Amino acid sequence: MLRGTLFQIHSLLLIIFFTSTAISVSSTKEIKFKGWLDTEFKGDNKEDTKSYFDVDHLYLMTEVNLDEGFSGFAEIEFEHAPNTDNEKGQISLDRLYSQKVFSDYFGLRFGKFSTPFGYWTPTHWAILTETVSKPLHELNKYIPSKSVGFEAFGNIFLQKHEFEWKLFFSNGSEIEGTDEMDDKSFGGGADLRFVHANGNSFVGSSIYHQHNPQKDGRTERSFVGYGGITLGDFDMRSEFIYQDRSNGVSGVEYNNIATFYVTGKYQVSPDIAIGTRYDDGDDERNFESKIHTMTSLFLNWTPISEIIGKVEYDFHSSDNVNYEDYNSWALYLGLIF
Amino acid sequence: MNNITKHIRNFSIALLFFVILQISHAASLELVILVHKDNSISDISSVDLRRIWLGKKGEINGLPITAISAETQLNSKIVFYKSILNKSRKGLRKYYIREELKGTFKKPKSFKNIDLLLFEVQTDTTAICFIDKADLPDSLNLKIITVDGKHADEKDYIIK
Repeated sequence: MLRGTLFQIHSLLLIIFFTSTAISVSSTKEIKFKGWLDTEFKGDNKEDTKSYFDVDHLYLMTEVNLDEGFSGFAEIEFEHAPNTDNEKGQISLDRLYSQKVFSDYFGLRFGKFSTPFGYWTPTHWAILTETVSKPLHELNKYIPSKSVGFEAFGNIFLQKHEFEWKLFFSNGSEIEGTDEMDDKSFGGGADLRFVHANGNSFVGSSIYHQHNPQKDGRTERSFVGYGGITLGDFDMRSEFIYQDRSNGVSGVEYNNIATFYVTGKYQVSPDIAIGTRYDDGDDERNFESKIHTMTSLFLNWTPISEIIGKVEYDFHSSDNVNYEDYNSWALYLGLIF
Repeated sequence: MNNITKHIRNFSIALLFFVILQISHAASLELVILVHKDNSISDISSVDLRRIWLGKKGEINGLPITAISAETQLNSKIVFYKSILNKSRKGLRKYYIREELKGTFKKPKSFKNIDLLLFEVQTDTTAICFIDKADLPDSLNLKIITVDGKHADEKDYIIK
């Protein structure tokens, strides 16, 4: 029922946004419509599970560029072939913001935007990542991938090098249903990334602070250190995440968590890349907060820039004796339009 | 059967000839950077050119700058992208697609042909583009700027 209502609200928003942008074509500089979709076939060798096909995502985006550095952006997500009759799948307003760029050094953004935390969290979308599987901090959603509030951002050019900075202030954990505040505290954070002059290497750090009413009202302070380097056809990247948690309002004590991953990718030809990723850290979702170690082998195929195919095989193990080790696999095809 | 083999051989030779012609043409290009005649810029660093074409920089000396190109500049793009951006055409296209999906991003505006490109640089004071010197008519009222303090005919000019 609730999801049905949400669908109607989102549909209405979608129609209003697209209609209003279409009407205002003559008074704007530029309007862009874009999107992407992907499908998967995935499975694992756990008992009582079988492989299946998934119509994973459909994203529709609109971008409006006006004069004087003003622009707007909206993105609607359809996940797992939603059907509101039987309340399956998911439709959500993934991002919606307006922004003003004052100069290369400073811009402001208001609305719902990607949380600037490390490398993977703001990249987030399966169409942009080299693997179907997510690193542990994304899998567990330790950090909300979106924030609602305002964000300041810019680039600082230091001779041939660059610093990219972001600073944001948000509704804490609330990224949907923002007209009814459950969370009485605000959140926020910052990201600073150094990009080397050659553009082939970067290193950065982000912090994020939020009050989490869905998790017993605990306060979460998160930190990520990250970096990447490209050497010819070889790419390497790593992130280390640490989250410090206060006691909940119920008095329950929560363990701090830490995860990291390191990934390497080799571009065999213009169309094909192969690589591996190693993950290690606390996994609340699959192994009751015990250590989860995952090794992924993957192949990316991009015959043209708008198509990406992925083949992946993952090995999972844990120090939780109640769970058996298992392997998983996935075939993926994504299309950008 | 022999005829088919002959056709395949001839087609292969023609294809090879075409590829060699394209490569030799790309190698003989002499690319210059153009701006509007009233633009105060007289020199630009290769690093700033890279930042502008990657959408990271939208101003020079506090004044707005807008990268533009023409769809027909196939060989020029190969040279410019390789020497300034260190990317292939496909690599740069992938970069633009990724950045556009991440959110608001302004990639260089593209025009149908070089005539329209030149017209834009003559009318838009913020425009900047690269062009093969051979495509540059003498009568146009435009400004060629140096890159890293070098002219296109100097030995260590970076765009080649």
